[in-house]
Amino acid sequence: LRRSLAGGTPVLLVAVAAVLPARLFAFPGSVRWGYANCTTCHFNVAGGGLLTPYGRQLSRELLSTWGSEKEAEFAYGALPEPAWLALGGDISLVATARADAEGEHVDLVQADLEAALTHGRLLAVATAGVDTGQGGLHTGGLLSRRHYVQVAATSHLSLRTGRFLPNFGVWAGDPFAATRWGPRWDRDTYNVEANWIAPQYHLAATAMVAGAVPGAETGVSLSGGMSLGEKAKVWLSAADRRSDIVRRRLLAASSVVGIGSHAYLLTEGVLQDRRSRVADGPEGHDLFANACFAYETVKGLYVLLTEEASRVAQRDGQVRTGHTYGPSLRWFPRSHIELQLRWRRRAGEAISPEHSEGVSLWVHFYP
Amino acid sequence: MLALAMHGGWRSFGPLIPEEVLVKLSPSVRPLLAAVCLPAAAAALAHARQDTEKPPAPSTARVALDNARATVEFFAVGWPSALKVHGKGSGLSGTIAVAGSRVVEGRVSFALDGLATGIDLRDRHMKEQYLETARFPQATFTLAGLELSGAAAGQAFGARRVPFGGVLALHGVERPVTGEATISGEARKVNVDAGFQVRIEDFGIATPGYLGVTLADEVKVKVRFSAPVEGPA
Repeated sequence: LRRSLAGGTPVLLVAVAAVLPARLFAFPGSVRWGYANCTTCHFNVAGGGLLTPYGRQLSRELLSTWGSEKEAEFAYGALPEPAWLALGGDISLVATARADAEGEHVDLVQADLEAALTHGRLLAVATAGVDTGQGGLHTGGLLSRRHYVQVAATSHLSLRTGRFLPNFGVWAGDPFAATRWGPRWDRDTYNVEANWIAPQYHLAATAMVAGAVPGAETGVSLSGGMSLGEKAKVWLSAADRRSDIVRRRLLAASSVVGIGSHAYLLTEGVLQDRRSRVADGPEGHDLFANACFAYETVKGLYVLLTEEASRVAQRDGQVRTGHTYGPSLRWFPRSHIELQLRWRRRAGEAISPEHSEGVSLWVHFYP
Repeated sequence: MLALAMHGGWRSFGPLIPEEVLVKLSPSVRPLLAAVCLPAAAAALAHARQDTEKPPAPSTARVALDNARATVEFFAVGWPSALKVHGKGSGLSGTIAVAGSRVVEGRVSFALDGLATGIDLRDRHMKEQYLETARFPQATFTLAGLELSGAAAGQAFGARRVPFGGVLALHGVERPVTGEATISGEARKVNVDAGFQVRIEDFGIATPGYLGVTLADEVKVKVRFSAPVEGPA
């Protein structure tokens, strides 16, 4: 799945590929247009993944530089869907050139198809795709990253169970962000989750009952979001998770603020209390933070400035700090297509492999 | 008046006694009649003067909205995602007549084509499919009554919350509406922040929906304006 840019020889670089988590592309900048809840545009109440029919049209109307109404539909409208079925998917490639030993290479990050079936108050969502190496299960076979059933108990309350990323803070679509990678909030688990959504606020309570991959942590989380005015939302989240080797207690604050009609600022900070459950294991208090300012230059073309920082306690009482920053371009030229060109400068240690120093080009196709 | 009656000016009692009765009376009776009727006539005349000379109705001031700084906003919620839709427009037309502290007449119109929600496609659907602004370009509110609690338009007074009622004509349908307004006054100027709620179904507007997102029937409306006051303060 990984091809060297220089030599063209396919090689498997398990060291990185083994930790590639599922991507759930999302666009929290929609808060600028008053869309404070992800579920208007995504079937996934926590954001990302398959777009609802409304989300498809909104994406075309507000995100894409060009595109017609019909073009936004699944497979460009070539395959009409019945009202109870929505189809889509994510195919994502990244070409990377780094200053470290990783060098240059192309990765298939994701190749998933996703379907959502609705029947009255019931919703069933499932993906099926290539296992590109998430969570160490690099089988090269098929994998369903996400599958769950959801019932709308009332107009405000929904319950879902299955495999998905729990609803925690704001999901920006990047599992490599410091605030996701650092506290390992990037691994699928089997969960039971309740979401209460009202115009001004939402609450999510999740029980992570089983890991989807070996070593995954289980526990509980609680996340509450509140709209401030018409273009801003803040979240406060907490979690308590444990595995055989570690127990984490997390406290997170997140926000996304629309600035006028062309810009937004996304910030998140996570304080982690990490306790070892094995002898002499590392433990202490960690801090992860990231901020991203985005400015829409012309419709669909965004300039982003990203900065991430981390402070991680080590076994010997030392502290390891990480700091990464750099600009990006994010462009939605037409419906179904997203391009991202990132440049990252590392000062201190990288927080995640994806945030090492270098340039990367992401191509995301979502039919 | 007494002299007039005693000296044949009895016809001045015409309003009290029919002419045909008066002409049939003998001249000797007429002074007597005059004496009897005088107090009644005086009372009647006094009463008539009271009618014409009672304190005049407070002079009417006029709040002209055509050039006022005005905004009209609506807030609706879409389900299942609790989507908040906020529409906004500017400009009002019409006048409000205020006698003392009481609004005696008011008619306020708003051009619905001026509404915008921030998304062109949504605006198009709203105006073409739901409000049908080509057929019903205006929303008009006719104020039934409002009391400024002692304050007078055109004078400075502090903000006060007052209830109001009236009839809203929207989408070709008229329905009574009640709400509450916060009103403050400056010299020759009045500031109004009024809010009310409507059920769009009551106005024959289909429940707006698009690709699975449906708006709730209840819509909150806010009207704000600062307008000059013309006429007596």
